[in-house]
Amino acid sequence: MDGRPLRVGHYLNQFFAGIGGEERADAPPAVKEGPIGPGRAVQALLGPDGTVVSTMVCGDNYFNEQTGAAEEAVRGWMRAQRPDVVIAGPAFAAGRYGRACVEVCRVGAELGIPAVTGMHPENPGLLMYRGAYVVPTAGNAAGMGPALEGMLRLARKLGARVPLGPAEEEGYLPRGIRRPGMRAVPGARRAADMLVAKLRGQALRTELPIEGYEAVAPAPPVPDLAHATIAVVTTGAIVPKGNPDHLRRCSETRWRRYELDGRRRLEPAEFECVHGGFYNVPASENPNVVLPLDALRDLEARGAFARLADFYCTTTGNDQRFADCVRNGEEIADLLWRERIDGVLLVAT
Amino acid sequence: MHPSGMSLTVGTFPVREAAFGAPAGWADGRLIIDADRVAALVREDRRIRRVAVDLVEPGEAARIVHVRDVIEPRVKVEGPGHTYPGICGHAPDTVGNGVTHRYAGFGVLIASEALPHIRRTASAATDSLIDMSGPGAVTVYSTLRHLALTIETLPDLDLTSWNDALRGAGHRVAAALAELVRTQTPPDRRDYRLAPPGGGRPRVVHVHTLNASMVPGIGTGIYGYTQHALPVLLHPNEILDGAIAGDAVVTYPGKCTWLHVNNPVLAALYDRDGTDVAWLGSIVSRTRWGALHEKQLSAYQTVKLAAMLGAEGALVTWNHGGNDLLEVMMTIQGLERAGIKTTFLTIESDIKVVRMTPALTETGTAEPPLLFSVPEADAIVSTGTLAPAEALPAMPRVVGGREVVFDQERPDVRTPAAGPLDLEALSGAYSPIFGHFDNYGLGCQSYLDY
Amino acid sequence: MISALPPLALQAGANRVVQGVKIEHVCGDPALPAEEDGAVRRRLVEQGLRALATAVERPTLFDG
Repeated sequence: MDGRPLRVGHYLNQFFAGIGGEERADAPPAVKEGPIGPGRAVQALLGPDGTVVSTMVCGDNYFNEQTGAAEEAVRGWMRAQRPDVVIAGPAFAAGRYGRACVEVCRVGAELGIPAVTGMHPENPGLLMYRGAYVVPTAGNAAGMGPALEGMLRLARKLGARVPLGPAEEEGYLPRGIRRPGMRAVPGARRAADMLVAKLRGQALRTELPIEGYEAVAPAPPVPDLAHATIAVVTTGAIVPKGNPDHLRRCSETRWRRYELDGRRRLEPAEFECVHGGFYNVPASENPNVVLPLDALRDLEARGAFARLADFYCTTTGNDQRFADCVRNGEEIADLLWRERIDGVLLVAT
Repeated sequence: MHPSGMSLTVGTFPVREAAFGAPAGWADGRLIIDADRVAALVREDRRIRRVAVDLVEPGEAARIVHVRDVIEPRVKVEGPGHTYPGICGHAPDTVGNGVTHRYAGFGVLIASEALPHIRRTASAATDSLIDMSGPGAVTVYSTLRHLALTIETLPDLDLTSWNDALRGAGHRVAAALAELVRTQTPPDRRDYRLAPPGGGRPRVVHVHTLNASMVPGIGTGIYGYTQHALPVLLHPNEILDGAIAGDAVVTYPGKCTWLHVNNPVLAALYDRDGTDVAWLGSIVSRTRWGALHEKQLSAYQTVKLAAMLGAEGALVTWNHGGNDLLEVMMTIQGLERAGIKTTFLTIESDIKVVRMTPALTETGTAEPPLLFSVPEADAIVSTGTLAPAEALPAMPRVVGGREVVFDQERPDVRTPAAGPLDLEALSGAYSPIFGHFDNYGLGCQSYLDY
Repeated sequence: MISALPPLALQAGANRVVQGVKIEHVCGDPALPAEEDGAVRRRLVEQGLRALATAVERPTLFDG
């Protein structure tokens, strides 16, 4: 922090820039000198500590429909102006505006220019990029004052390259990064305190915001099952007896392919289950209960599908790291693709 | 009996020093232990071939390996029943009333390497360790004085006999040590009694979910009952008297017998009972059922029990990981839907972090914090991570064994216990440090969002 | 996917899910006589194949 005034860049949509409403949502990106609209309030909040040197304005529809061109313009603007920090919005509940603001922050991150935005916590724009520093705001411009105050507080720190503290202290929305830290009292006491607060209807902050898993786009259906090649995969750790590859019972990182050699069922003399996360004796006594080979061969013989791949893939789905699961899935999918498999039965345990 | 009818006075004898000698006894924080008597007690069971008896101190450059359980000596001085009821031949009489004496800061530790066939049958019988100093001294067990019993049993015991022999030895010794202070006046005494509900205080239940072993006959038990069963209502005093106790087989942190009698959630709720809440008791429901409908049944019955008790609030905890979380979350969902406001005290999926490197601290772990969730779980306390920042150093003193196996599938690969241990490299993605999750929030460590 | 715990599978994003029997034996029931256990297995695999041949837009549990 060298005490020099902060150079601030501000991003606005067509509405807050005052050039029009919905009818001007297709306005292409334009750069204006100095603050515009709410930028003047930003300037007032900055006082002698900073200057809104430049404002970029872009129509919400333009940004969402011609994102590539819009981002290129933002990039060019940031490169030309080299602001110490960029402020985008606030966008409140406006979804397209929210998306644009978040993307502006992402471009800033790409160029090493800190950025902050503000919007309602349920603004769908937040789904586009989790790394943005977002100050939660009201649903509409009635909340402009507190929104700008929150954003400026962060902008000053970001602009001065001061590392930010936790989201709950600094007033931004969690970005999916959790770091170890100490709290004031032990967990058991915090849990009792939190329960009392909840019962009293007092505000409380969960220490673990629930987030969903990323959605996976469904594969199109197998068009012609009767002529399809099917493969079977299991996370149930079914391995050749003796576990020659030493597949771990827990915390395994790899996956393995094993040949079926035309077998019609898995025999306990030849295969076993080494999964450490459940009572694996039934599966070792009859491995078909986890890898249903006998049923698959039966249905293959009856023409339910054309051919069963003559191998299977397995790993131990027990305390696996997420990154390993993702990589294993991609590698197995790649193998099955190369083997021209039409559909795969995944048996999870 | 009305819940507020149970009354227990716990007399605490702090152990600030321990030494071998005679006569055995406690005085002014100093516990003198007769090592020969301890060894003789252990060897009463003919299934035990050999025992080494050691004292290990917090702060020592020492590592204890093959930890099977830690037991806090507690003795019933007045009132019905036996502490740690229902196991080791102790009567199953309901406990939680009268007077119990205990030591603080001290545990009887059972160390015994898992027999090869036990490793094969019970995956959860892993090798675990406690470092008493250095970067690996991250758990509460690193702060206790341990009387470590390193036991060698007959080699061909089946799982139940092996568990029985080891656990029995630990409890015989713990009982004998607690017996030393039966008639002495404890320097610290505390009464445990639930206040009669009323005064507008919101009625709350502690939903104390407890893993049940998938392998019959082992794991954590309630009055020695280890199997999956429908939920049961316990008075917290029963837990203080050892009604929930672990085995000597599995090593997951939430099974430890010492932890259950020292469960900080009990203390936290007792502190608020009578002033801010009316605590009705602890509903103990089993987790890790194998079928979805069984998980649902357990959750539904837990909710019904809470509702029948008139609960308005619930503090939910769990003591394991993995698919146990399904019934725990379904219970939270059911409680909230029944109008019972719920908070959840939990570890995170970072159990797969074995070492908290500066890089990981910076970027955050890549694991989704919880394997499964319900939208109703909106009030969560997270107990963060105890993962050490560095690899474990070499230790000049090792108790409990000479080598450690880090992969149950490779029992032939044995690592010198004294050596420096890069746990991440050796053990993959699961820490062998005994007690490495803080299930019940003993500490202030947590995770913060950035 | 055949899973004993569809809520978990669906939440994790699996788009085609069939309810299996139990974690320990997802595709069968060793308590049943061999013939019936086999029938359970066949039925589950058939459901799985049917799911493969069905278009879905989001995580879907295939019943029956």
